[in-house]
Amino acid sequence: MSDNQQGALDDQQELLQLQSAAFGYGQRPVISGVDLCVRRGDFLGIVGPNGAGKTTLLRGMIGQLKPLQGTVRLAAFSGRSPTSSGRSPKSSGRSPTLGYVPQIQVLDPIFPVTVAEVVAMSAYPRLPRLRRMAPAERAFLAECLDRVGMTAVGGRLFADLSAGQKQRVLIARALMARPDLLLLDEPTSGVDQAAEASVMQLLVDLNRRGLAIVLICHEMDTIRDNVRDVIWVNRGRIEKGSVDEMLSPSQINEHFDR
Amino acid sequence: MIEIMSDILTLFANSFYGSLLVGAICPLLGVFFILRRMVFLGIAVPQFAAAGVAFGFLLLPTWNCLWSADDCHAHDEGSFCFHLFFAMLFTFAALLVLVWIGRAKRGSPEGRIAAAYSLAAAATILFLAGSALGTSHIDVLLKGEILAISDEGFLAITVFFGLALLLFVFFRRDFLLIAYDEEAAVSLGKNPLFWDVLLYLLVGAVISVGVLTVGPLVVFGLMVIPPLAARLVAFNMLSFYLLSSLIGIVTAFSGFMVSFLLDWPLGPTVVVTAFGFLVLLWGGRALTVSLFGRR
Repeated sequence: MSDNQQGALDDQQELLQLQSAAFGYGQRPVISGVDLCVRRGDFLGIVGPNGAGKTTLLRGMIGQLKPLQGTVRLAAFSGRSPTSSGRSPKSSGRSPTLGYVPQIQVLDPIFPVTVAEVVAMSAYPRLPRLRRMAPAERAFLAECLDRVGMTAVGGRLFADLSAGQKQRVLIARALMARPDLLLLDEPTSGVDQAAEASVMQLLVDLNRRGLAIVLICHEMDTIRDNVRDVIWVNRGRIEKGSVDEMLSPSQINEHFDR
Repeated sequence: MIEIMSDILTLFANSFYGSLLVGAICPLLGVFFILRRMVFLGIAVPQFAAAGVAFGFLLLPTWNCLWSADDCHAHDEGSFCFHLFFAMLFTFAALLVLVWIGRAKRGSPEGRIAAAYSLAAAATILFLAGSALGTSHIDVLLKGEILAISDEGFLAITVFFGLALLLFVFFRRDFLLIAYDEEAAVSLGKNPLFWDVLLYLLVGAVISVGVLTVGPLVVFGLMVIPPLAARLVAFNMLSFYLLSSLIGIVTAFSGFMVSFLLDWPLGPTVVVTAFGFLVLLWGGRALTVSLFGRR
């Protein structure tokens, strides 16, 4: 995140607010009555049984699913939009920028994209259309790869990387958007234990620097060790609280019908 | 060689330059058929364009009566624009329906496209059953007799394909982002529907003009085979675009030469040449892998 953005945000600055929101496919809601506020510095874990609506909630948060009811509102605050060309500062009305990390399985290996090309995608909205990336953008791309420890693989095909490496590259791509809020859909899915630990450590470091993070995760231990607050998604509803409160044995048993 | 080129440029300049343009642009747009795993759209949609042309021929007598009451039975073949209108109408209608159904992500995409292709092929034959004049024209189109590109046809190829190339270069990053990761694109503020519609408008225009001038076989062949060949050796997206287009141009050029020398029909020769490149690159890659253990 740039200094400009840092300065524009207070510690408890609201980034994203959902009020009585319902999300679903067609006219059928999968999840409803969602009241949720994500603030700067938050580290939220979304947990719940398979098919409960975790990904649906995340898709609603990034704007891919329009709410069937209620509202999803990105806060407006002063500062320069990182998705604009970057040359003309805006004095007011900027919305928080989202960085999104999908499940690696959804990215088709038929695309012959290199790691650098994947990371550059997040800069597309601010790049001049007929020109190559400016040196400053290329330097920032290198910085993003460096922050996730993937500098050495910049020229390799993304499809040729291991699951853990892919996950790190996708986090670098999200950082390339200069996000205020990072949303991740199962970032530890399909990676080995060592890679999982290093991905989570990376997220904790990013959060310490002020980046708000919302992630879906199935591993209760990973959630317990790293995030601050937990959102349970189950039976079409959500419930939010601290890690200790939400991941108590009684809560886990209740949500998994044990 | 120089003598052959001189003969070709004297006798078939429109066809030669037209083939090179089709060879350069069709593979560029075909890249997205391959990447989105919608290759069969590349065969179904040109068939709808052919059905549109056939429908135009079916309407032609009525159209002539409307505008030329004195000579209702004139054997007017209809203007290029008249046929282009129906080719585009059918192409865009087919794309609209197939993409709209496809976005719902239900059922089998291959099944839908196969059914659509059957419908388009059957409709072409049925429309032609009512138009003797159209039968000979469509026969020429289906065989890919590119040698008959008129001045109007060449102008249309130049304008539409040139415009498609400009728009493709201008918006290439947006098309790639939407195709590769729609969710990330949305999180960056992009509207996937808008970019999909723009891409399919480009594809539809190129297919309509291409089918009317060089026929559905050549359009489908050049949209699919050069990108498939390029995918075998591409090392990034830019190389994928450039190699696809380059293979398309080389294919069109060498197909033209082979056709001229052996007196073969031009369209099928171009497609067979493209397939030759695919086999050559596939063999080269297989050999490289067996020798060095990697691409």
